[in-house]
Amino acid sequence: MPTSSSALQTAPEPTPARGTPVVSAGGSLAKGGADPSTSLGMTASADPSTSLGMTAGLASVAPALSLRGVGKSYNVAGRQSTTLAEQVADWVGRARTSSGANRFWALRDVTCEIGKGEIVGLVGRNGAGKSTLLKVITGVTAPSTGDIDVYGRIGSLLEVGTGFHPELTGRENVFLNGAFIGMRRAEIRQRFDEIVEFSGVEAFLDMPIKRYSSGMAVRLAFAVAAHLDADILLVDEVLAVGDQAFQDKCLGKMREVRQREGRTVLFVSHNLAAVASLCTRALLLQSGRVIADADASEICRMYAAGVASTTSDEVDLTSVPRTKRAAARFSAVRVNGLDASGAPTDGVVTGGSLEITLTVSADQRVSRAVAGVDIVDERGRPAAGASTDSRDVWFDVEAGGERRITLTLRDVELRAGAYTLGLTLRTMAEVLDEVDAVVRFEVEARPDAPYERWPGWPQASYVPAFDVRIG
Amino acid sequence: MTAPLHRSGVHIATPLRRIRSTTRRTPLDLAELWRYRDLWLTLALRDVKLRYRQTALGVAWVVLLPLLASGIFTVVFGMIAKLPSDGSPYFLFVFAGYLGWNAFQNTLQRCGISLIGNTALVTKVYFPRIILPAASVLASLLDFAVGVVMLLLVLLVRGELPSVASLALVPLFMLLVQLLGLGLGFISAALTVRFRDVQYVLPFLIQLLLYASPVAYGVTAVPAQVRRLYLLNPIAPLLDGLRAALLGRGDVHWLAIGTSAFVSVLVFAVGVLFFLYQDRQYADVI
Repeated sequence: MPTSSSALQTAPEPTPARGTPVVSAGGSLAKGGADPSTSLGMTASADPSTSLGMTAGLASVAPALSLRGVGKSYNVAGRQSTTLAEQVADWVGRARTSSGANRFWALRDVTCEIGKGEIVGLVGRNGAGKSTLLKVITGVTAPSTGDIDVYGRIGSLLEVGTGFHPELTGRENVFLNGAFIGMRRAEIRQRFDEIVEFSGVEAFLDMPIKRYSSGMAVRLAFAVAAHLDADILLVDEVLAVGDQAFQDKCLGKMREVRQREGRTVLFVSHNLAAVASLCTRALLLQSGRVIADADASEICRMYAAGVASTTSDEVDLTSVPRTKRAAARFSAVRVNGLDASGAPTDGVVTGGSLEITLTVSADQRVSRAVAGVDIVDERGRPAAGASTDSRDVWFDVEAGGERRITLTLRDVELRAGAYTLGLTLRTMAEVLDEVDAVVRFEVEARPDAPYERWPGWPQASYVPAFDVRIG
Repeated sequence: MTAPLHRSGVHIATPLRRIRSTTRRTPLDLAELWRYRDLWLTLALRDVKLRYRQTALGVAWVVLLPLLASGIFTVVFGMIAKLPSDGSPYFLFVFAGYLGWNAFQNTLQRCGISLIGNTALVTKVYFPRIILPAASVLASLLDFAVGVVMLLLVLLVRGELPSVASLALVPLFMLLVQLLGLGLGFISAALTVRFRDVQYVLPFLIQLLLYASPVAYGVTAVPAQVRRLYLLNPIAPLLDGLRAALLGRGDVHWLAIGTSAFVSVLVFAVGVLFFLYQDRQYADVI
């Protein structure tokens, strides 16, 4: 397998232990327009000569996937017209809805080539665009910009057992799943025994999947995906489920796949150890962009070190597309937490303080402006907000000038999760600028209340400080 | 490592699939559809297997439903309204008509909900979407086949078995019926993704069409002066022809069938194109 990365694997022992100094599998720089502030550190770490070597190495390998300027945007206005009456109303007001004002770019300008036989990890925070990238590659959803060439059959394990039908038996589901990647029934029959043996659910093959425990369903799903004859395998978080023994088995299988079969794998996981040990190369995603493309362990180090942390980094807003260009606009924003002494911290904790710094720049003089933020939760619901006018603060910006507005929010009782910011700049007369969902940050559960991590309950994102008394 | 680069041993120079943000319509990739032919079969078989699972009577429903419907029509149209039946017992006359109708409406109805009934698949797994509605054909055809066998058994007992030449027309007419059903089905499947309204309108329209078609009554019961107009309903000549072929008696209106055939093929083609035009947004809108 003449990938440059495979040079690492000349030793017979296929386990590249973490911490092993991985010399230079090379790291080609992401072309995907990373914003300068965040990618600086990365640029410095990637030696241009090695990245050249990587490119040369790739050129000699047939590509498995080739992405050019791929982007995906969604309409986040929540105005998905589903009934005819709404649609008609939409047509009437088309100018407004198609303006692009409320588009959220889940993926932006991703350009990369993945060679045959490469095992590439996708790393990034929730909402960085990893899953969207996989969906666009598989063809589940169409890209809004850019082109993708796929050289081979794609098998995906996007969400475990999605292709499974609960009423069908395990046996029937194996065939159904294989068919979804375009396999012939005869091909599936050939590998059937192998799949079943790997999954360890022989005894339940003729039972409907709906009676399987979730663990059993996961085993079967992984077994199917790992054994079926896809040229490109997409794996999303499968290792988060199943018991330790089965996880080890999966890791072993993935290594085997990599070693023997020259199959291409795209692997999404929050488990950095798994990414570092399985993948030869990784892409680091942030806010829909690939901000680094390098050797897997290097990427994991960067990610763990918080290089890509959205909080505490200033985010440049000058290149964010706007619908209109008014006299003044937001040019940057930064979000960070504050500790008890008022010093900035990286993380934001439930109940802690949050500091949002907005930079406003003006072409022409603007007087009596107001800036406000909405904190929007993962479901797109505004959870909290603050604006200068509610503290009776109005400000002027001189032509060509800049103002920095700092909002300090105290006792931010937001439940653990990911949030985005919506920014509004306006005067009494007009809205000058609106920016949605460009900054994303995570609120961590407070250490003494681990149950806040229970998903989905209570529904609200904002939970005021409260006490409980049981009589 | 000495593993071959690819199982086939050669580099594939041309991509298996090209995804472009600029194309408005998903291209009709026949090679891809052919690669996915077993998915069609698997999904179709899934539909067949699932339909009567966890029902007490199971497959018997395939036979019971047409029998019940035919019974009701016989009472209302044959015994009360006393409409003509071209010389067959009214029940058999209606049953033969209903088999064709059932194959049409089953395809259309299953197509309509095929995308929204498989939301998880549509949003998470890639495969040519058109396979989902297309898979509904098999179940309709199986039901039809079971019904035809029953009908022929009865005719055999009565010594009225139709000629082979007459029966040979059945697959042809059924093909046209399915093309029409699929064409309309593709359109309603695509529309239902965006407008759930279709879900409610469609059954009503199907009901309406049933009474505008020669199922519960024969074409001879239609006043002669409006018969030509009546046969413009593309499904009408097909169902009439199907019944005539199954019972081995009655006229086949070839001119009307020719028109219907043309319309059916046209509707099918338009349906495919419409479905592909909407294809790119199913996962985002559903």
